[in-house]
Amino acid sequence: MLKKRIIPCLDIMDGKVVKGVNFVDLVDVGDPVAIAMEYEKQCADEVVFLDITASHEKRRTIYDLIERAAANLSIPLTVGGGIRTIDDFRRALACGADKVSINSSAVANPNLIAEASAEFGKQCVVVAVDARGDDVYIKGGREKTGLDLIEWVTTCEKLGAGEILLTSMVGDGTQNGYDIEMTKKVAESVNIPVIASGGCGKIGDIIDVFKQTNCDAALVASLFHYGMATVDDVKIKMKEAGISCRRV
Amino acid sequence: MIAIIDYNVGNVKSVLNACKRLGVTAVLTNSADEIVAADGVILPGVGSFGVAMKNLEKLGLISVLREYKKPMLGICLGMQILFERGFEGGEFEGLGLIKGDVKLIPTEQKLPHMGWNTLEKRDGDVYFVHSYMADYNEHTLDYCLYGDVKIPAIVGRGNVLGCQFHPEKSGKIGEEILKEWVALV
Repeated sequence: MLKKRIIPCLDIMDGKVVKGVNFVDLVDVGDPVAIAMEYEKQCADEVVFLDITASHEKRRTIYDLIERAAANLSIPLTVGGGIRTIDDFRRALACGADKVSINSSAVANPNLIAEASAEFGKQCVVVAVDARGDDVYIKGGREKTGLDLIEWVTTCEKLGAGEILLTSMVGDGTQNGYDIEMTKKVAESVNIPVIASGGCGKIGDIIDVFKQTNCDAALVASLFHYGMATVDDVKIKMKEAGISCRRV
Repeated sequence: MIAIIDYNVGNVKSVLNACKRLGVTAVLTNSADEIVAADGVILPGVGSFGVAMKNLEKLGLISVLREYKKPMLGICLGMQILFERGFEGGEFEGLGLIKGDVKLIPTEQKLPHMGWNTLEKRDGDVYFVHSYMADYNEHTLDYCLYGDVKIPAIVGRGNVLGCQFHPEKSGKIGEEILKEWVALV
């Protein structure tokens, strides 16, 4: 039976992990590779590196960081932030990323999803979608696109996305819990895996999103980064709640 | 020395990284001489069946692999092309080292089959990412369940072993499985 995944997400700026509260107040919490390795030990199922400054400062993702992480991790690594072209995809994958996530660039050029999917396989094409209500946002939530959430995610699936990373702009950074309603709607609209993101403040939030929606994975940041819980703590509670998960 | 075949299908680097972590000497190569001289060969791969076979053909490696007598390990797509035929976007001839075809997973569930699933015989979780699967037959050594579909996860015949999952991305259990294969080399 396929397991529900717990994916620590490391927001990265200038080679360091940060976690933004509503994407603004940034607090440095350390070296991404060291932290990722610690999460692997704790039984994380995957790790996401998100270069949050890349999009608006037009910086390229930090490729040497990917290389160092990929050399040391034996779980999948997804990289996002500043990926705009097929060449960016190729470079991230060549450095050892297993999946590449695109957000603003997919909205600007939806064909990038199709091209990347045809060239590298849909399994490595993750479309990150930031949304509030029915609206899709880009540029870290600063710009409304006019796209309808459900129309956009179904378009992404048709174009060849392998996975949707859905972030609720309402929940993100608040620690008030995942956006159950939005996650449920999206997970029921597509037939590819959906990762719930934004708002996780306690283990119960993760249990809720798995119990109340058909999502496949939960992205977690602050809860782990600030040491309020380990991945193992989460897995123990998931087991107790009857949610199928991987234990080492 | 292990030869990891570099045939433009992606994910070869993660296999090389895994070998390094295990302290095993390995090279990325598409030279027939180096492959023949190596003690064992790993056929990695993420991509599509037809493209993988075409790339091997261009490199002149198909007969080298068909006649290979030392330990060979196929991973994911590298496992799939060990079979006779693949039906991903057409019909393509495989290496034919193991009997059977590779077809779309017959399920109503989400595809790709992506994430951690349990090797039923070994009783451990490993990482899968694929939409096509090999026939379940006498060469299936272990399997996982996706809904009610039994997906061959480890296949083998003679010197040839294949993993549908990614041992190089499967944490400790994946490392154990790779170590076991390396011990045969």
